[in-house]
Amino acid sequence: MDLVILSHRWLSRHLNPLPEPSQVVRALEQLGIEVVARRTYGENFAQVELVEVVTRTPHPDSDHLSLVTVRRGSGELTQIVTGADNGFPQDRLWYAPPGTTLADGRTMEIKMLRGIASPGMLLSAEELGYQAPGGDLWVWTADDPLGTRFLDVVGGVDTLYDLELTPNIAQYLQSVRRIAAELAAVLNLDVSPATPEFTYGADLRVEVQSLERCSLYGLVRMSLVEGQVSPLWLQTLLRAVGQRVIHPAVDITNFVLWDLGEPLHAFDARRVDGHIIVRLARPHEQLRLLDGTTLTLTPDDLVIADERKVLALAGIMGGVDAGIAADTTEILLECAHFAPQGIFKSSRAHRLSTDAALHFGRGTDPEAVLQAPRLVQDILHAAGVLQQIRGSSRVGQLEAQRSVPLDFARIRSLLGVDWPDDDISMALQGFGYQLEEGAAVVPRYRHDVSAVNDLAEDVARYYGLARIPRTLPVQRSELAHRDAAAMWDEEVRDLATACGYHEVITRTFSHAQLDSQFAVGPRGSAVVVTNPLRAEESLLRRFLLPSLLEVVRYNRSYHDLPIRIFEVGSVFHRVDERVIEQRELGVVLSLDPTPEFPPRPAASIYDLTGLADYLFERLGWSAQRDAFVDPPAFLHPGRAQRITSSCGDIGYVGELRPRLASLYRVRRLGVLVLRLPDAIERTRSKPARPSRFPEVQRDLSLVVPEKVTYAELAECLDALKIDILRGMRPIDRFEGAFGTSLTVRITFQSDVTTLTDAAVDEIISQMLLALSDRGVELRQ
Amino acid sequence: MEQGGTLEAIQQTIRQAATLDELKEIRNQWVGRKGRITEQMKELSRLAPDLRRERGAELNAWRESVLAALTRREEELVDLEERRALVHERLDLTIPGRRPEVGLLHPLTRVRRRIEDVFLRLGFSLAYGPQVESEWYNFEALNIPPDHPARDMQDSFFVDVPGLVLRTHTSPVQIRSMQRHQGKLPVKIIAPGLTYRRDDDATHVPMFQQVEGLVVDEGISLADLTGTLTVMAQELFGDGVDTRFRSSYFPFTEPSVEMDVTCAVCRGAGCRVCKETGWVEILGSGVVHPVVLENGGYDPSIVTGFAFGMGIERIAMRIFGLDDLRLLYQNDVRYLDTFQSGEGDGPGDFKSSLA
Repeated sequence: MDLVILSHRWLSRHLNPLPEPSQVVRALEQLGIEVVARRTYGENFAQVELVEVVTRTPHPDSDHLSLVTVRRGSGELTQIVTGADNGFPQDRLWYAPPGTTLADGRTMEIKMLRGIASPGMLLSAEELGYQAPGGDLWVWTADDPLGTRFLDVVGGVDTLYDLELTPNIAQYLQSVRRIAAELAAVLNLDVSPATPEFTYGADLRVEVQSLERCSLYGLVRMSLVEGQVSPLWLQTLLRAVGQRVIHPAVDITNFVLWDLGEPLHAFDARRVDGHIIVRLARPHEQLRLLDGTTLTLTPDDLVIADERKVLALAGIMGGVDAGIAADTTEILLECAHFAPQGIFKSSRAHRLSTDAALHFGRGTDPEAVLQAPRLVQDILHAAGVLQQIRGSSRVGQLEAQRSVPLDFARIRSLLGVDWPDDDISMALQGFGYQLEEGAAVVPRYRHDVSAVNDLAEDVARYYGLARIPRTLPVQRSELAHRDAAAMWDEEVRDLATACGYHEVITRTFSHAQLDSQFAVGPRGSAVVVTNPLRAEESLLRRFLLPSLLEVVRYNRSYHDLPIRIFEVGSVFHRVDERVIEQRELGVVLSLDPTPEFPPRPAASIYDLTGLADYLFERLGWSAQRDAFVDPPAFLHPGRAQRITSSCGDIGYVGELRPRLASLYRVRRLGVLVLRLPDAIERTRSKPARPSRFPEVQRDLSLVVPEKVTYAELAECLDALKIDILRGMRPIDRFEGAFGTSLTVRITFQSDVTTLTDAAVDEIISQMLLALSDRGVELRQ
Repeated sequence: MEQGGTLEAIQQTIRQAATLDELKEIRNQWVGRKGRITEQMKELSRLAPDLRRERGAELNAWRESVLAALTRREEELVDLEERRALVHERLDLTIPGRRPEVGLLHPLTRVRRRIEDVFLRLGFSLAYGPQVESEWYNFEALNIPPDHPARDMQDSFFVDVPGLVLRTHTSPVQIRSMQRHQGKLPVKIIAPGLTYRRDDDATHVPMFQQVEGLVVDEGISLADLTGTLTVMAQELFGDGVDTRFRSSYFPFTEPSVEMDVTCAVCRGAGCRVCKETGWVEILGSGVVHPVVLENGGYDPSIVTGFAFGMGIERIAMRIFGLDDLRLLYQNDVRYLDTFQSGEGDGPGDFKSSLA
């Protein structure tokens, strides 16, 4: 975005009548120009008043200070101490009484200077931010009455608009004259006539070697009257928009830059050897800039040179060798049209974003090459600064104007309006298009216009978007659909939430050490971010878990609360030149007991194994938990399982190594990580009609050898294929001198009959017999 | 029943029984197997028929009446006894109850789903694209050539795979969706997803979520865009919300417009939040640029389209009244836990934010 300061006073040079600031703001917004802020300029001049010197005597205790008594507008006499060497009786000066704030931010007060009080200051032009000829203090020669405020001689308070220009508008609207023209179009006002063209001669030698990069080059030699400064009105406009006043030759180029949108450059003619040459730089050629730095150029850079040296990086910045100095009176004024791309690339390559580069880089108006010297001539002449024009030349031609097809029906259909052709024509003409049969001739400064869509946009801007109707598209009806993988993710989120876990969303960035610490299984290398904001975000994570652990650390360092969180997020890795993006579910549960009344069972790793099984069941996902042959080092070796599906390993569940968990400010931490599939065949529910006969439950307390797992025990009973066995679940487990005792509750039920105790006893005997093969016995 | 007293007297004894045991004794005494009424009924057979009938009716009435009194008193005593026991089981129910352990979706997920829901109802399908995107899809296909000034608007994260970039917006999904449709009409999608830009302050985070929208068909206009987005704003923020459109610029749309909604803080009067304008910008949009249609495989002389892109965070900030975006990604569980009520989940409740 380009930021531009627009002065309301400057607008008045071009608009008649001048609208109210609030009208300007509304119209600017309609035109697509954002007004970021509205400010004022000049308020601090309201207290600065014109006074006359009555007496001047030396300070009794200082060699260089004087006591000056002045008469103010009220007739009151005031004595001020000054160090200035001018300001004698009858001189009229600008006085800043206590309370005044100067251009440099100083606020005036009553100061003791060598024992004598001095209320405020007598001012130099510089202290007001201006330039004036002559000595230290600004001696005012105009015949304004005493007591006149400085604010009155500069024309009162100005309103400033801080504008943000989008890149398309910045291509042609960085010009007060052009903004005024657009405002005039939408507000139906008169705009000042275009500046007449300058009549170039052919009496200066100019050589343009690259017409592709510089299609038009004008040069005017001017003699200036020595010791002059820019006119007050021009200084005031430049100061208002934040420009410094430097030298009439520089000030006028700054004025034309913002008024016409055309960057000019002035060379000190004394320091140019021979004629001007516009050419590409030679390899390693050097240019010393005004700020003291030296650029090393390449043949991609276009330069302005004389016969011996480079004078400027074309359209971007001037060199110090032929720059304007305080005593410059003979200038070569350059007005050119440079190809935007070349300027944009050079300014980027050398990191020089000057106002000129911003204008030329976006594209300027070639016609300004013809108008600008005339504007300079007129202003400098009127101000008594210009002595004489001593030659001029122009190389290159204006390109023919482009035109785009004008299709009224198409404009209507793009906007969704029924406006008649005449209304559309009026809008386009208002913005400077010339209309021909079936075509709109585009103004030369409109580099942003290439097709009918651009015309439609201008029509919309002209009338305002508020006049566009609001409709819903009328289309053939079609069923909207969701994406299978995304729906799967959403279902996982809903299930995890229903199971009591809070969703978090973490950044996908990580860093190498963290990323490899939690690596599981084979995965491609990490995708490195080449310009990270911070070192710990220097790659895209390959694993989700570390991001969640950071959330645990963050939370636990602020509060001692149980953590139950999950995320469905992306992980990345690269295989050759391809980046693979996958989605993982990560669940983290702190297992530290939290005192609570009414009591709740403590969280345990069984909550996560149970969650995994529940997810598989609800999602119809054929996945199962399995023993780890070689569990990763970050997991508790005795409390971890891998999770597999037909795709192989897809995740794990377990406790973090306690030593590692403590780094995240928890003693015990359970984790579950699953890679989510894109689309799978889901197993279906198998609804079964419930039996009409009563269930029988039996509790068996078993002594189980250390090596026999519950899964083996269940498998052993399953193998018996007992049709009345409906289910088994552990209800108690403890370790005693005899080994591990496990009590299971077994449920039997028949579909065809009421079970008798005898029948059940018989089955139980069968089961115990089978279990005894594994060393499992009934506890006595 | 002269030897035991009157019926009235028996009932009196029953009413005065203080325990269930006492009551049992009374029952045995009168209507038990050897109870006095029972005994007398056994002797009825010895009486003459006339007398027997009369006496039998009398005894039966006595018996019924005594049984009823016993049952009544028994119920009273059981109730009394339970009440006496329950006094000791009293709990302090002002102690906070055990809340069901149910998690919460992240507020951004909830807002994303709401946006998706609005557009699904309008007939938009959901589409997706990769987060690590080719520069062609992220820039060139969207009319942003390498030296285009607009690339300055989006400070991108680059990766060590040549030609790839972390997508700076969800707009590449526009091109991918058009390509997937292979020239079929209409293309009508929204694309939610994560996007990345090198920004980090109170209103910008380097990773954020966008929802892209695209409609391509014959005769799609700017009016269709403004109408669709107005409906969306009303669904998300309530009927009371006002919307306006401003001209803007995006390389991939022409004309381009931004949508503002009335400021939730001052309701349009002007305040610090809305920089005294009464409006807050919520999204960028426009008529699809002909170059973009071509890159998606569509003929811009036949079809037109509109597209929009919005930051879910910005919508969420508006819905929940937040001023610091970063908190949404800090994942402080206490903070996330404050998003309990269902603002993110249904329409209607937003009306209050403007009422």
